[in-house]
Amino acid sequence: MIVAERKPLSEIIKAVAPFEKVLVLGCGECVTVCMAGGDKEAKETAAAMVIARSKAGKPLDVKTQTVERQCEFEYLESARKLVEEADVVVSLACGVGIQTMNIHYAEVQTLPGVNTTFMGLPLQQGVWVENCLGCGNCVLEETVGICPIARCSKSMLNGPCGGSQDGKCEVSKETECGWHLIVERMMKFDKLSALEEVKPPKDWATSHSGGPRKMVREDVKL
Amino acid sequence: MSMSNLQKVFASGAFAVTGELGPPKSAERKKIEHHAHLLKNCVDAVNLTDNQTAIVRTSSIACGRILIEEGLDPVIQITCRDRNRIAIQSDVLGAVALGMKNILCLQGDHANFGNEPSAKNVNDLDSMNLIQSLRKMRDEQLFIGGEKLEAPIDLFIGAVENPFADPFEYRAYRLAKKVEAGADFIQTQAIFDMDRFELWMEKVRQLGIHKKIPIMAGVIPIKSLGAARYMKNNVSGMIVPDAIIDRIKSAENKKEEGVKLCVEMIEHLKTVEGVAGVHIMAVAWEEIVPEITERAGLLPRPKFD
Amino acid sequence: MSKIVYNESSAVTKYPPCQGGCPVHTDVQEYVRQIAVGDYDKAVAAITAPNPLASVCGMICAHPCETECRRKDVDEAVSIRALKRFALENGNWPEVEKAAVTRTERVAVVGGGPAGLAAARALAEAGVAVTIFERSAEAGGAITNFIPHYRLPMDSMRKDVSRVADLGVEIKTGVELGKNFSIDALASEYQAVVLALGLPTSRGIPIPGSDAEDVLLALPFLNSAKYDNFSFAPGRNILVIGGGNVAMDVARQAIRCGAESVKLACLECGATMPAFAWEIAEALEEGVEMFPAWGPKRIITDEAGKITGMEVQEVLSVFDEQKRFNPRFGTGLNIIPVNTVIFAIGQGNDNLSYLTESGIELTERGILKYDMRTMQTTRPGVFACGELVFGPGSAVKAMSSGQKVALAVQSFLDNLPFDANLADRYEVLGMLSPATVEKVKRSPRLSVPLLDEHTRVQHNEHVEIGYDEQKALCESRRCMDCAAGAECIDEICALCLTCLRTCPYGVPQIDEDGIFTIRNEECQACGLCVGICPARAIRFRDNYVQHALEQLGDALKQAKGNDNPATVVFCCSYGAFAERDFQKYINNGKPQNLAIVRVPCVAKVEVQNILEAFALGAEGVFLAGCEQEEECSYHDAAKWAGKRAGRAQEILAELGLEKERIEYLSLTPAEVRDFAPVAERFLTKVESLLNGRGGEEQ
Repeated sequence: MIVAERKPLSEIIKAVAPFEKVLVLGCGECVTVCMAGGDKEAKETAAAMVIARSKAGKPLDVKTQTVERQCEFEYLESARKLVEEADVVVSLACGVGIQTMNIHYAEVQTLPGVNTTFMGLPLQQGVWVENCLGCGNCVLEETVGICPIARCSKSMLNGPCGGSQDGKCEVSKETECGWHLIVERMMKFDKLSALEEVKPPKDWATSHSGGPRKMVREDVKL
Repeated sequence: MSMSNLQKVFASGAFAVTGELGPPKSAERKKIEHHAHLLKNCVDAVNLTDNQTAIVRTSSIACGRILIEEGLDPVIQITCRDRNRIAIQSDVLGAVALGMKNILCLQGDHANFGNEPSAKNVNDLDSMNLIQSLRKMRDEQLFIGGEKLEAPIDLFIGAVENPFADPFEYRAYRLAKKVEAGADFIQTQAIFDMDRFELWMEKVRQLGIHKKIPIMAGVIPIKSLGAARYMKNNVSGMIVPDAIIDRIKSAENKKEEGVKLCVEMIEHLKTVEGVAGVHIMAVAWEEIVPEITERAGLLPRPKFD
Repeated sequence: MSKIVYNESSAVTKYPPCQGGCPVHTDVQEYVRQIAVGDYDKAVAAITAPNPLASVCGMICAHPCETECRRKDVDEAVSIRALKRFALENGNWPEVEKAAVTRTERVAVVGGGPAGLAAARALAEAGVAVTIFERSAEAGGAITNFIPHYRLPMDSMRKDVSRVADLGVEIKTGVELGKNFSIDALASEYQAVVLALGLPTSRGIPIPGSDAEDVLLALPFLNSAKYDNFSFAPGRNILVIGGGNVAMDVARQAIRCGAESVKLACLECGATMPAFAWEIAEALEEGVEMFPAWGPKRIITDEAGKITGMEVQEVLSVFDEQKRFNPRFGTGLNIIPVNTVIFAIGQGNDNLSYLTESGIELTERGILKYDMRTMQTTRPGVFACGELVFGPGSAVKAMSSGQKVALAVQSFLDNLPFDANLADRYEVLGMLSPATVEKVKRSPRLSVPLLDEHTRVQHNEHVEIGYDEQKALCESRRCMDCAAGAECIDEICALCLTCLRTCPYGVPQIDEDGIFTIRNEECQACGLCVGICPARAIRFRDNYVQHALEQLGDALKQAKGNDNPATVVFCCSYGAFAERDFQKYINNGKPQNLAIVRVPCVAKVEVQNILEAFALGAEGVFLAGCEQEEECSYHDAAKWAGKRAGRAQEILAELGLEKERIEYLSLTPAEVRDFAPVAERFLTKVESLLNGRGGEEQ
């Protein structure tokens, strides 16, 4: 799923300073699951904004609504009434949803209420980690299911750098060395010899480096 | 194509010695020249670090040219952290055009460590790709993308390995892979845990790597207790046993103890089968290198025409 | 009876209004669809299952299904009754198996009309030994006795009756209750009795002159015309009094009996005449001159007592605000010159006073006292059903009553309570929303061919020619498959909205609260959503599509095992593909290596079906659909079928197989009727691909 975190409240409050009627729009998918931007967070954020603004003596009219998914135009329709009544929208969806809002409701600004961070999973309740960068050319078969692009801080393809110690990355003791995990898993499947092959430089053109990506399926286009 | 001085030393079978010079955080040519002179007659070649620890310093290749003009043999370092393949290949051509031959390939410490933690870590290539690509440029006259170089170039390709990183069982294999990829010589991370190094070397010998290419063991003279502690706790991939810390701690003249320790290690390394030389990384203490090399019996350095 | 598969998560299943409106709840949608795909045998099975008088209904049913048909909101109702007739005349009927008698009790049914026949059949199917006591020479009740030949050939009636007898129901004719036997006599032999006596007495109006000669009553006249070859002397000018169906029958029969002219007057105005609209129309065509909203005041006779005319008075209204029959007359008067009057103003039951001797009470007006809930008379164990208790109505309504009384009787025999109101709870779909109506492709209702109005009045032959195959296939396609279409499997649905964007009818919707639903009640069952849903979270309520696609395995098995490469064609099963010529091609004419899988609309074929064909050994697959604009009653079918084929081709290309192995063809009816060369072209292409000649055209 896409993981995001709510922006610092001060940032959000500053962003809506020029406005008087705000809609805080939550999203029912990823950001709900990672507790950054669902209905609950929308209401929390709204309440925080009300508190801050009344303290500042500049009351704010805040409404909230949550739609099924903010990245689909049709689901955004159910928010039309509140969007049209607001001066500005603060969206708690991921960057995709925020931008979709700006496309669909072009006449109003939808500002980000969260920082969208990564694609990852909840390793356990309350802990989410990044493990896919969307490089566009998956090599997980070679590394037995652990991604060297996302899990290695340097996206190395040919094994760990010299900074790997005790299974941790040089960047932080909290970060596991992705290659350490790969090597262990390869040993488990007796595939370590596959590491002898020198992998050539990665073609980054399939990643965002090659430009914003697009996928088209002619067979389902209307 | 002529061999670099370092190459000649290896070829002659003599125990090689290299030093290291960390460029300044300025464009002061004089400083570079000064440190170069300190090292001139006591080492066979001098490594020029490439924004080591992700701290911005004068470029390795630029310093390499300065060293050549001062009569030394530079070992250029190229990390994968700061440049993409276009820039790297371009820099390699520039380095060779300016007379350099020895290029050491590294991945590079993560930018988080340095003075520009917000910088983008490029890592278009990893160090293995880098070694392979340099070999391709030299032996096949091809760029990574497949186009032909307009004229051949000659390189002496170096790589690093860290016997003190994990997974330990894998480290010798990684070295073998670098040799496969095209490494011509190796320099290791600084040794303090000799037992572990010997263990690693045994594995390396089992794999026959020492017969394929020269392996230089890295050493760092400890300047102070603080320095020792720093290396133990803050430098990734370094193991400094407590015994060493204690030894320095209990010494009256820490500097002297550090030199003594370094010399002892070098003497020992001369006897380890498969070690073809020693790489002395007296960073910020280049002036101590003449003394160390003297006391370790490494002088005079061989001269070739 | 119904193949509707319930969505477990929905509380109530709503039936299509045709099925709900049919008193015996025939699965109309099922049989109309079977006709549309050329499976007449299956249509017959669906028709005859709930309906003991299928042939009769196929001819003369009042078709409340058509009145309720949702298609009428689009253009016109589907011509269901005529389709029913077509199926029954063109499909094979299932054999009637004798019903096993599993109960010791015996039941007597008095009256062999629709209600009695239906009650008897239902009881027999429930394992009860039943005997029908019919006073006429033949069973059938009003249908046999009064419905004219030109509307219903007697063959139909006899076929239906014989099937009831084949079940094991004993039918005794020529025996009359109150004359030949009594209730008490029955009660001694039978554990329950059902009175299905109907309304066989014609009523007259006691206006002045109604006792004149040449004043006839409807039912005796019709019976005489039917069985006694009755014909009028020359120069008879008839006035029929009445505005209902019987009056129409009388008027039209009178023409055929040689009347010089036939007029008709009734209290109701033209718009509210109770006769069916089509009966009125056909009567007008045949030359009946009608005077609606004129009430009979007196019959004018001359000195010899012969009728010279009818004085009629203008009618202002027939029913009062309380909806009671309470005609109000105006001052206008007129005289219609006629010399014969036939009253067709209503029927009543025979004189039932003899029943009181057996403890069965009547009201003061001589009508059976009856408990509508238990369906019993005042004598326990004696039941009543049909027109006898609910008043004049259609045959199918009488049958429904007979089926209910059968349930009442069984409860009685089992000593269980029974409430007729609870026996028939049918929730029915509401109207199609205007937004959906707008999007349905228009297609006019095909009128049922009749003999022309001039020739047909000269004899009593059946006037309706009926649909031929092409018309039947075309008309049946107008059915919108109400309640048979898509429903969302909520547990799997990813709410991705692909179906919403694809559906040409706007069936999936997000409501104002942002909740997504697939509104099954609006669905046209075109199947585009099922094929495109990435989660496979949409299914059809009715599983006929699934069944169609499951034919693939067997069809391919038969196509393999000869020297030629097995090839599959997924073809539509509507239109020309449903005609018998195409069926003949499938059964006799096709090459052995061609497997034909008929699917109701080829846009329902999914990419995986095509790949499955290859995985099972086919070397080529083509999709053959109807020509989009003219033929296909759905939107976008050809487009999506083409896209499916395209996607399957892409996948094949990744596997190194030539794209030419898959093709989508949009065929005109002419091409379908001459399918052999179409198939041949594709088969040859596949062969040449296999032989490595790279797809050369021959």
